Amino acid sequence: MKPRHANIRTVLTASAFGIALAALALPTAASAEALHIYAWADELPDEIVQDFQKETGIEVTVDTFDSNESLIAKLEAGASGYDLVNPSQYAVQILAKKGLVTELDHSKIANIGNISEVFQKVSYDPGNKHSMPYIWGTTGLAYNSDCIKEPVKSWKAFWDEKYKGRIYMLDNMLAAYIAALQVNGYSANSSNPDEIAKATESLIKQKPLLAGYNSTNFADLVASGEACLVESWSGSVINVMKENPHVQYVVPDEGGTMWVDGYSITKNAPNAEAAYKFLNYLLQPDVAAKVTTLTSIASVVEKSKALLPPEVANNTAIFPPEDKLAKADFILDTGDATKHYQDGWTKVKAAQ
Amino acid sequence: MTDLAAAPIFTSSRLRWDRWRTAALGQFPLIVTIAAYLFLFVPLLVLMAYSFNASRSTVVWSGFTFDWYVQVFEDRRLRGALANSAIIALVSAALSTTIGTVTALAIVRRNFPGRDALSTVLMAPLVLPEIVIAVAFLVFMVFVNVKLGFFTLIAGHILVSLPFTILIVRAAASALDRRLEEAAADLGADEVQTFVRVTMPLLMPAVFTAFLMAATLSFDNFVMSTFATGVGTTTLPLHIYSLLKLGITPKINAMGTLLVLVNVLLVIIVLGRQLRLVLRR
Repeated sequence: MKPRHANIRTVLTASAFGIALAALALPTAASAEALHIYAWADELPDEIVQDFQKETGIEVTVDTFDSNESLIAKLEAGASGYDLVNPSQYAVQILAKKGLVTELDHSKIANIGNISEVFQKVSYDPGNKHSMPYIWGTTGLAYNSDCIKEPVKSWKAFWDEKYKGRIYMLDNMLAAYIAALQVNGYSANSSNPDEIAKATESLIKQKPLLAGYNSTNFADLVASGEACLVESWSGSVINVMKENPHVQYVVPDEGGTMWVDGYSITKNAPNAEAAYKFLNYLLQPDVAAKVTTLTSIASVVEKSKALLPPEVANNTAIFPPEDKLAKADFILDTGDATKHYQDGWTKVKAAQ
Repeated sequence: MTDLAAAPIFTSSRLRWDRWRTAALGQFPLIVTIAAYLFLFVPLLVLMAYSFNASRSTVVWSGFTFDWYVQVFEDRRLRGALANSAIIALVSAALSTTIGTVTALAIVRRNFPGRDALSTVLMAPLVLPEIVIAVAFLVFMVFVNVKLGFFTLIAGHILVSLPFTILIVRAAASALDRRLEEAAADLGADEVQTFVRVTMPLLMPAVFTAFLMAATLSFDNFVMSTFATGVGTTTLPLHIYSLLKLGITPKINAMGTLLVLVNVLLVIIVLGRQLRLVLRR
């Protein structure tokens, strides 16, 4: 029977050990200045955070979320404890409307002038009142030139019988409607029920041609040639393009869309001062250049482009030609029209 | 015998078919078992194979490398998430097992008003969708003004695993032979001694199982974690899910392989101990 006693002791020791570990891990009071950031994974490199910690002595905690909706839900529930959050453009609108983020005090961000003019005037938050733009990219299409010989320039390819069974669309309501609205000649931000209905029809018509909806490994699929044509976020395909020169990323002639992930300071942030210091830090051209080099995502800091290695600065998937960008839409909060999108999307998903 | 002649259906071919069918039916459980094992383990093997993939794809094989393992150890956030998950799993499992054992013993051994009602109510979380419990939990925590973090995660995970620990220990406790405890009392053991020296050692295998169950439930819990997590407490499942935006790389496969390895080691250790016990008898 002796070993059984040892068993009790083992479990007790294990529990005691666990509890001791937990005690260690619990936040060790506010000895140093702290900063709590809630961010998209992979968009804020750990190196940048560690550099900032070294420079300022501020203790930074970074947690990651998976969607703007998760972020909004977390802040809405209250008691989140975050100082800085990382919403995309339409989420900024929603957070500002709900009063969950504060108005930024530009006098505390000395480097605010480093933001290039396009991003100072963004339609979702003119004058960067509630959010400081950080990085940006586009939603367009990617194709494998092994499989599609002629250059693809338009969303129309997604309705081409030739590629039946080799096309993937992003498994995301707003993203799918970008293609469907623009292919019909409408704005990707339409709030007109008739236009949305037309787009819904296009999506239903498209469905038999699709291999599926995919937001996770579509970049792998187009690189392997299993997919010929995928709707794609620029950031997702850049890394596979480095390994496979056959993968091409294109902002379609109809415009595509642009996204901007920025930083906002939460209402009643416990460490607002540290948050401002961090925002200012991110806008330094050398820091912005480092972000772009590490993540392959374009920074809003214009001066950082000169500091980039040429293979990054000249990569058209990171920095699309300007004439293409002029036509790109921002995905904005569609307000009441959201219902039409949701109803339509349900129909699309249910269609055979 | 005349019956046989009157039944021409039983031709020799029919007999052969019957024999074949019986044999096939006899093999059926084996086939199903093999299929089930394949279903369970092939994805794991594929996951492990791609953790050595030289490119960042998890679909196309392009060469062998250990780089992803190096990256796992270099990734501070991944390590942090793993540590969070491990701490929360251990603590919540320990507490859940303790509470579960005491509750199970109370239900089986004591007579008190409302005992049956209590034992039914305690099982309710098993049939309630977890997301309902999680939302209610979050609303309550915000209402009583508790800061989200380790405390809420551990409490939430206990909530999820408690019905299981109670169920496991309860089954063992009702199967326990009461005469052993009575014998201990006859031999002069007091109540505490009986509990520590007789009851607990007999329950230990069940308690240990309950602990492992609770730790596993906690370690891969996603729904409750989403709601209960706070500053600095991103758990491993939450972290992995958040990586989906820019795509999953074989780094996650490497992490998964390491976890499988740790689990296999644990199983070997546990099995080894049991084997030693058996051999010693």
